[in-house]
Amino acid sequence: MFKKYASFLFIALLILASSCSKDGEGEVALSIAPSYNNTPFELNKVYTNHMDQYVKYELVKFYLSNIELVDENDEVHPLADVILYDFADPTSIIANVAEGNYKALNFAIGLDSTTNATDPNSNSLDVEHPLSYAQGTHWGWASKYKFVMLHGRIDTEPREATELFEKSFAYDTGFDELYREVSLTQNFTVEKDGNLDLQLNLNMDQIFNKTHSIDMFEVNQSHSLTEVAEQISDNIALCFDLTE
Amino acid sequence: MIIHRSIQITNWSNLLRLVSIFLCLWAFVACEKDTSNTNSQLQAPPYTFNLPLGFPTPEIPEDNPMTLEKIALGKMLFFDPILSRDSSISCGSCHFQEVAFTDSLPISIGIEEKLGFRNTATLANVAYHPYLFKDGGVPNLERQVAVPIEDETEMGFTMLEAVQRLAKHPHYPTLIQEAFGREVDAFAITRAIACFERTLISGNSPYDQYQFQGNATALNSQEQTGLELFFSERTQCSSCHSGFNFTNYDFVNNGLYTNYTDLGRYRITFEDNDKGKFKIPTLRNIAQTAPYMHDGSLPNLEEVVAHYNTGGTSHPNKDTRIKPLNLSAEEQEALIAFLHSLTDEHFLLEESFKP
Repeated sequence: MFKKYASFLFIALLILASSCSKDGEGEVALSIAPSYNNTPFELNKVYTNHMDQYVKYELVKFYLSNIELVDENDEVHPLADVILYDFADPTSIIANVAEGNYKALNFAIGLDSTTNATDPNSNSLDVEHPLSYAQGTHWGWASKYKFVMLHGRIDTEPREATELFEKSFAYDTGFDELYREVSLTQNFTVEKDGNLDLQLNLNMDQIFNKTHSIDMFEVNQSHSLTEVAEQISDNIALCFDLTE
Repeated sequence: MIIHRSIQITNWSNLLRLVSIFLCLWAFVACEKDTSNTNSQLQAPPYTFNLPLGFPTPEIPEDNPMTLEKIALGKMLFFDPILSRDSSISCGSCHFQEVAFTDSLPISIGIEEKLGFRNTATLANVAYHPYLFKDGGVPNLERQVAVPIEDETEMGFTMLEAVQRLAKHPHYPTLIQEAFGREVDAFAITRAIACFERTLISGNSPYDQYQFQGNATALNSQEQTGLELFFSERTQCSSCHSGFNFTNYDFVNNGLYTNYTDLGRYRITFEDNDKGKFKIPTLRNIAQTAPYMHDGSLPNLEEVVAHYNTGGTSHPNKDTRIKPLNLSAEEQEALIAFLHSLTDEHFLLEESFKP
């Protein structure tokens, strides 16, 4: 009997606490927008890269984690812990944050070492979870996740999208060493009960040509912590910008 | 997919109505908790290890207590090729009990006759390993299960597809519900097989009978000579192959090659001084698990002992204990005889391990 009354009381208190509206919050929607040479990126479209090679992307997936906004007082406001972005099934983040003036978006490409050690088959992950086994993003042999997955076709001769390309390319980066933190400064304001749309732009054409110039034809594979994986990780961290 | 961080409720009258309904429902179920998951594991007969003398109790993960139902289910899955893409390969396709759950091949063969990566390791006493695979890349048995399932040269499948396939099976959904109190998922598959593998305990060889069971005649004089050599400062065999399981699980470069194509532990750590280092294997049942080394390149124990007797090749990471032993032919034979005495016939024939 006591348990029943205690449950009532607990629930009542919970409802009271949660039903009070959170003062001064607004909604922020963060979408990710890949582009190639300043035009919206498409899978299975033939592009020319920095070395005049012909590339066609068939898979673009990556983890972003520890995504947070930084306000003008340097306080952080979390947006999401982990997302798995798949261009074929894009993810947006919608979150309520405190109203006010903000100056930066922070995030990481990849997973921090604790998250990277997660068991994808564990009891606590449902199949929709970004870290679930169902995502197919785990290197079981190393007990680590793939951070950035870029797969497709490449040729040195011009090709139509439906033609056979000379080679495939498949870059899966990962391991703790390739975790990269990014901070994008941008001033924006979250109004109380307002809606703010932010767009995280990814310049795909620069992933293989930024700090490091990578010959995708000669070095077309990586499935571990390799030199080219490190180069891709360094480059991609510089390929994002933020617009409102 | 859209991720919502929080939801705001602003309509007070609707809120109150919802609360009222909720509290009424709660009155009926407040003291009931969903025990389906807990009940299944609480009521299932627990498994009690019957351990050999000198063996500690294996560590059991909190999320996977051993029950007879889970073990039986795990054994069924272990021997079922349903977990491979073309339904041709099971765990048992590379782990045969009669050779201590190895396969007598240098490198294992997977679906479509694809050649694997390394020599298959024994599963004898795998419950005690602090990490799995020769490079130690996997921290426990539960996480190891998915690796061969998803390896394109082994079972060539994905855990997601395996789950989907098992969910349509006439019996597995019921068996998993009974064992785990849940629907078919990767958690149940991996935990069940791990439970079965933890039962594969081997500790009743002639050596064990001699050393722990007080049977002074279990080893003949040649085997006893080999035992003394094995545990001597001169050979230092037991400095790596130590403890009740004849391994300290360290990673060691034994000078097999001057240049390694398989870099071993380096694949995980990327430390140059880990190149060519592999997890020290158990020597239990070693006479049954030819060929030897990470790549199965040494066909018999004679060549293994000869390798160590010569001190191996030169490599910057070669362990300093690997050096010429200058064992006579007679001494090498005695050492090999001792290694044969680590064969546990009971383990090789145990009925409860058979499908």
